[in-house]
Amino acid sequence: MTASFVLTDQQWSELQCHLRSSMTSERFAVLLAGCCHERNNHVTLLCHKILLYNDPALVDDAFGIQVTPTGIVEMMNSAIKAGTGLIEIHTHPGAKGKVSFSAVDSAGHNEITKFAFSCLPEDSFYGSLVAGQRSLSGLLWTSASSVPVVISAFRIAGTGKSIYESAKKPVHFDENRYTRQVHLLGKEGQERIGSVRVGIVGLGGTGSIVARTLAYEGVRSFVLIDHDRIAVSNLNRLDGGTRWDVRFRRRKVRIARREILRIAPDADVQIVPKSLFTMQAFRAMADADILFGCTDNDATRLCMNEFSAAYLKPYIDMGSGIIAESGRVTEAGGRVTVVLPGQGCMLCANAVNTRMAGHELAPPELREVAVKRGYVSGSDIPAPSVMSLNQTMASIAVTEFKAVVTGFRAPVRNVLYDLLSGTVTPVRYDVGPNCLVCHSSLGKGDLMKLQTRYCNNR
Amino acid sequence: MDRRRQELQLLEQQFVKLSIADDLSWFIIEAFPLPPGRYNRDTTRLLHFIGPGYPQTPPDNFLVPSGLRTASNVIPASYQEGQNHFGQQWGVFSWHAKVWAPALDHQQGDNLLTFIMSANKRLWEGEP
Repeated sequence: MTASFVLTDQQWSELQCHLRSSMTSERFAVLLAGCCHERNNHVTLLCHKILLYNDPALVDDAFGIQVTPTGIVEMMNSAIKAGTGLIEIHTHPGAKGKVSFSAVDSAGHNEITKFAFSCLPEDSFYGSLVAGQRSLSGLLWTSASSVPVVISAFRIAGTGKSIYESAKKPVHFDENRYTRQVHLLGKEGQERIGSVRVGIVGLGGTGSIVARTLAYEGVRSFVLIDHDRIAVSNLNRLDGGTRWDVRFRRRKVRIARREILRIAPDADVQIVPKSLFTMQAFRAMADADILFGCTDNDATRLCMNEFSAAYLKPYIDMGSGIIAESGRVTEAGGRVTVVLPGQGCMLCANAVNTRMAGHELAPPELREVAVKRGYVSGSDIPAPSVMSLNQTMASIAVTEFKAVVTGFRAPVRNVLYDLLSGTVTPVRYDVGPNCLVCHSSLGKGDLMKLQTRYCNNR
Repeated sequence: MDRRRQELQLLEQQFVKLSIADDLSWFIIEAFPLPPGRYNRDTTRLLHFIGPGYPQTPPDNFLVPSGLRTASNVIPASYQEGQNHFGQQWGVFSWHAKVWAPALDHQQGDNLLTFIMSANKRLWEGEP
């Protein structure tokens, strides 16, 4: 088994601030963490919550910092209450090169892991990290094995930004091709764009444009999820779609892959021609670093929103719409919402109609009742949609993607575009005080059992 | 512990006979009391499907076995039969929480128990 550790930019800032508060004595913190079991027997540990420890839970003696028995019980109880695994981190402030555990640390590991597995749930885990001035080392114990696994990489969620990796693969890009873009993003920014894996759910009107634009911008790793096939009424706006595609009823994911590969033949494009609510789609999303939601239904938004929080994947959602009555357009425009896990979500931004999502997710028999009563649209009457509006929204979304990944500026978290007045309005949102997704699901990964909940009976 | 399981435990404290799906996607209260003399039953099974998005999505509707009638033998208001679940015919009461505000602590704010209590109020006090 191999292991890596991911936390959000905000969590890393908080942790760094605490760990670097002394250059002479050791600092200590506890991370409550979930995990994501991935392909190839790799586990990614995800930070749920940081507990900063100061006196009196610590004793600082000749052997370095030690947690008092009361402090240990407190940290075990916190993990049990949150239903998470537990990772402790301490510093070796004098370590300038590659930091490693001391003999005292190793002796402590034997005792603490025994105690941890006597308290924590059976399938839980215990991790230990040590931070030097410029490096991190970590070990992970699971109840399945007494031999620890080395945690080899520490990354910031969704940005391709590495905190420390023992063997980081270099990312190369064609400097001639991207020379004009590097002026905006910087060399490191362009490298990050080339290193992130992007998941796009929905390859229709907006998703097809997002996919092609990202390929032009330098993204080289994609996961495309959509069960739908092209129809003739899509030809006014599905980027890359042709009459031949309609004739052969091609899957939208296949068209998008073809178009990406025309732009970037070296791109790695995984397609999932299935609904989001399938195990295959969930597994593929877990492999992505950052997600785009390009669908037109609230059930998908609700699900991706929770997935984003649980697996610490930044999520960019967009929607566009035109309302016409008696041949006259009364409302038209769109929205792009950037969800940075831990900093507010689609629910905090009021960007999901939860009642509608509930109807869309209901068992088919009950959905029929909702359709009959007019709570939800049951027919597939095509809504008005035009490519120029979709392009506007997709372009805003891709610009925000670059802001998240490269940090060339702070992302604008919620953007409204009014097509009739031609105005773009940023709208601020924060974490809702009672938001269950932001407070309870954050970083819990597989522990949230989202696949079981959303994919059953589908 | 799973939020749904926590809320179902609240229901278990209130209703002794409660059947719960292994995946927590539905529950049935086996002998839900109905107001005496108001319907053609004194108790009924009551089924509710917990949506995958719950508690972010508000709970919606509850079902009882088909054949429920008012004391004057008419079909209750906002009630429609023709649902087949688990090999049994059910009728669905259209019932929605007007405001849905779950809290971080499952015992505070809205939860499955408050929803069922509102359904109870509808059966006892609403239009039969």
